[in-house]
Amino acid sequence: MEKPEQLLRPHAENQYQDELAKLKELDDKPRPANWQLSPWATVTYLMGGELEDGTLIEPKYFGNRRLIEIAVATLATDRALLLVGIPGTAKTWVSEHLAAAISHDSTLLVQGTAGMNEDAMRYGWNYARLLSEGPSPEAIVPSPIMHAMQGGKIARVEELTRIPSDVQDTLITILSEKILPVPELSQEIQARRGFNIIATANDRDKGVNELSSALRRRFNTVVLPLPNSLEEEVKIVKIRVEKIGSSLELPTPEAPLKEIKRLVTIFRELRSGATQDGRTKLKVPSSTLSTAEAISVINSGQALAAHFGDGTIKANDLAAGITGAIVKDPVQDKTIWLEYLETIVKERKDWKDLYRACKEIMN
Amino acid sequence: MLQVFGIRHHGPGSARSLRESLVNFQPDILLVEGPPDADALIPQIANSKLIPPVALLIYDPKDLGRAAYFPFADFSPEWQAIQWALKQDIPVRFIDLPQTMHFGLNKAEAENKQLSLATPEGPAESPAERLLRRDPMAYAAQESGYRDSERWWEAMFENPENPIEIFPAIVELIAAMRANVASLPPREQMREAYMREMIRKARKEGFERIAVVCGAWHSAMLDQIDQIPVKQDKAILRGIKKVKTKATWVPWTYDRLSQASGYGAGVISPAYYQLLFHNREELLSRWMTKVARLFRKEDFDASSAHVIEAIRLAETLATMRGLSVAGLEEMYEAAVSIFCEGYPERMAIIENQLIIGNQMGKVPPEIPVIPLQQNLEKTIKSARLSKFWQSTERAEKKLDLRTPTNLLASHLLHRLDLLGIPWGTLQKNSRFNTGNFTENWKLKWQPDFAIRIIEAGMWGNTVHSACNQFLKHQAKTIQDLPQLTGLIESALNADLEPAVATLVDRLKELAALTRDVQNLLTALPALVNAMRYGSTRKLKIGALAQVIDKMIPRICLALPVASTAIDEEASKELFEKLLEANEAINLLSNAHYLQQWYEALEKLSELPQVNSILRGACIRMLFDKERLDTESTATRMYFALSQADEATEAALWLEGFLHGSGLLLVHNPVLWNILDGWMEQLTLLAFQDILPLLRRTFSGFSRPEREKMMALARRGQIETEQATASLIDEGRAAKVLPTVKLLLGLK
Repeated sequence: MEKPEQLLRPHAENQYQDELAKLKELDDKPRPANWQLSPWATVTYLMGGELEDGTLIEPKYFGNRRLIEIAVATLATDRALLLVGIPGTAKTWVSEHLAAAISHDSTLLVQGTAGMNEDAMRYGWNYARLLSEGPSPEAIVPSPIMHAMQGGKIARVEELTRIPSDVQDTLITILSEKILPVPELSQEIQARRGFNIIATANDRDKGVNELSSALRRRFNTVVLPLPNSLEEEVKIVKIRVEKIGSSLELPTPEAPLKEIKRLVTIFRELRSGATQDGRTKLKVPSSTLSTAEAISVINSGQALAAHFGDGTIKANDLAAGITGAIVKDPVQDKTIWLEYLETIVKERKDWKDLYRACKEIMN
Repeated sequence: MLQVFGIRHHGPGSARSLRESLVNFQPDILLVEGPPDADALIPQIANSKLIPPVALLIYDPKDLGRAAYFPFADFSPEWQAIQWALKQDIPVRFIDLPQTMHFGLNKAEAENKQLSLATPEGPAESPAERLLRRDPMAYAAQESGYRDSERWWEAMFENPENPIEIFPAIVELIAAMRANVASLPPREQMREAYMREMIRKARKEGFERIAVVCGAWHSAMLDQIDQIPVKQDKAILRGIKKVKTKATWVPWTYDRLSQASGYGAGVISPAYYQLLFHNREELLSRWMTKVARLFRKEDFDASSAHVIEAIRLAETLATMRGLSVAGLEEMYEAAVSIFCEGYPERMAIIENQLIIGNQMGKVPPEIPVIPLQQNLEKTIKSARLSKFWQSTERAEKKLDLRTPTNLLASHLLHRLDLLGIPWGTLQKNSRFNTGNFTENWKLKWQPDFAIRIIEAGMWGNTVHSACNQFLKHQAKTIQDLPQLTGLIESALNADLEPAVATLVDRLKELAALTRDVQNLLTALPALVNAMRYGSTRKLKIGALAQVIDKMIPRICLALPVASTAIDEEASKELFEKLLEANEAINLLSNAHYLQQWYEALEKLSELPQVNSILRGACIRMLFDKERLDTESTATRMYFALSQADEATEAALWLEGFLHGSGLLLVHNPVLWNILDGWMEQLTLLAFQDILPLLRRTFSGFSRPEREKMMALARRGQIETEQATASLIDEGRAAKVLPTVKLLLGLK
């Protein structure tokens, strides 16, 4: 295997193998069958902390510990886990690290797409073998889920709601009976203990395939929220913008904290439907306005400022990006954004430049 | 022998242990921390018609603002202990510092404060100290990392082997805690001294097995009674002035027992505590089943399978967190994950019923009169309404609001109506509006009002304060904007300034959130009215002005979107509302609002998807205020009437344009000629189609208007030049002026 540092992006269980090994060594709490770590150790791995011997565990998830506790408890009760949230809330990140901690294997992954068929969830056939030998267990090409069932491991399904409904429903038997029938061989695969599924889904996307209530009932749902406080979100945006800026080799002007703060404030206020001071309620637009979007608005503002401006980001460089991010529905969102401009932005003292720049774009 | 039982107020855990321990101790008298003013009311606790939650109300009959409430739920240890003692025929007494003294002290303090501006105040208590004094168990729980003190209690004391050992342990624990507390506020010292004195008194009377039930905080100091010199206690209590009090039971609600209501000794979840008290063994399954049933009532999926999974998750969570029993938090989180697909927002729908509970206590009518009723009777007397009081005959009363007694009567009737006691109904026949000086009321007493007054008694001791409290409570839950503005108007009529402020705050929120412009439009005239009325009454209406200030831009921005693609019926409704709003905005005569409003109207008038009646109405409103000159109005009218193939559209446009009055046709030959020309080119069939519409429009005009138009119509096309060229003869006109002035009373 290549060394982790040679790879563009190593698997979680490789990147953090030292931490995992240390946790396993010191873990004296009871473990569910086939789990590599106890639920307590799993939570510690995700949230970070200091072990008894002084080893520092890096936090993987910045957020509410109780959510991770619910997620791990769900997996311990052998119910499947569904992580829901708008894009950019670390759903995939959490699912990868959970699988890495529990099974030491985060590679059993099914990426949900609109065009996928049942084979991707169940098994396919090695056709050369199928033709020469007829149906036999050796001719089966197992899916990651089938692998996980046989090995008593965690399988991950990404973007569950993008998968067509009939394919989604394949999961019902797997989750309730814990078996995968192979009718061609009159056989079935029974899951070993420790098998479970972590699925992720996006709840703001339009045109997705809603889960049937039969399937939904098999999952415990944990909603991963957006960052809690303004400061926290500003910090995340700033760090990410600096990282992306360097990897894209943009001639980066310093992302000014003031502009990031204004932008994050606008996004947070519109998202939560209330001003930061909690005094005025607002209507919420249909756009997601995630942290990830704030990052991309700042990025494009940086590019504008670097190539066409004097190098420092100004309100003008951001106005188009902000408006584009907020107004997704040309009628409703536009009214909401105008209303926000007129009643909130206009009245903030240092925001006059932003108000003018945005109004210019709206006209 | 003396035993002190230190309890948690409203703690189901202590209630259960207390009962068991009392049975074991077999006291011959029970002393309870409570107001001795209410000793006479204790036997009522055995009355099966007195259903908790209820509260003892102690008040000063001379000043009803001076009052104190002592709520009890059936899981309150005091309630359980007293009920048990009454059943055993054991005497029960309250031993806390009487409210007669509390009131006396308050009165003296208030007078002192008036005398000397700078009263020396001790160092302020920190929140931790305050919690320690008020609920030492919660403090200890917090210190040991529990968020819910009931669960700490469970972990500490619910040891099934020997429950009786709990109370001596508490006394020791508190004694250790109190050793670190330097000094108590003087009032606390008095309370404890008084309680000790009462215990000594019971001893003197010859009782041998004395059980004292008090808040855990005091337990140690009562237990050490023999170490504290009698002299010291007597000195503390010397010279306290007393105020006469009365006491009664009033109904209470779980809502007001909860911490969220601002009740200092309140509990987080009365409904949970009730369950904990009555069904401790099946707590988890009962709680989850309740969640499922509540969700089903709200039409959400919630099967028994959900319940089972939620229980499993809650149990696993509790194990992961190292707890023996799942607490409120684990249950809540599990329910969110399983029933709500992870969204706590959905929990909010049932949260109030689940966490707080909607129980309301009952008080039988034979219990003494409550102060609200006394205040009501007094007010009725001063408002000269006594002869209608409790009379089931229907009577009428005309009130002239310029006389003080009548104004008082009007306020009273409005207030009672708000409290759900519709003794009087306001007659609207005299085209009532808030500027008018008379009100006509129909008065009729209903027998069930007696009960409703008792119920209203929980909100306050005077009609005024009860009304304010009640409205503030309602403001929290109300969702409907027009209903809220109606409430604000009533509150203004009833002269309830504090409540108005709260309602207006709520209005701010609702107005910002509503997506329904119709609602905003409906609310606006009432608000403008309220504001003008409020300003004549010198009420603080700044907040109201702020709301309007935000509302008008919202209406103006959203109006074009809201008016497109709606059917004729909805358009007509909107048309009426538009006219009312136009009137209201004009009344405000604020240049900024008018500018925005007219811009919106202009935009509306140009959108082809907007129903013709609305477009016509917009042009008319703009024309009336000279936002459009005759020439451009004529252009618009010509355009609207030029679509010859859709005669009905044109007729609708006319209906909108000519609403209210047709005089402008008479005075504007240009417009008249356009109308005339349009009529002439109509085919017979089209004319037949639109005749009913036209008739509806024109029949609304006054008779002289119609006659004038008739005369014009006979002449056919008017020579415009001649009409506009006709000059006014200044000399002849001046002669009329004196008579006109006389008629208008301008001299």
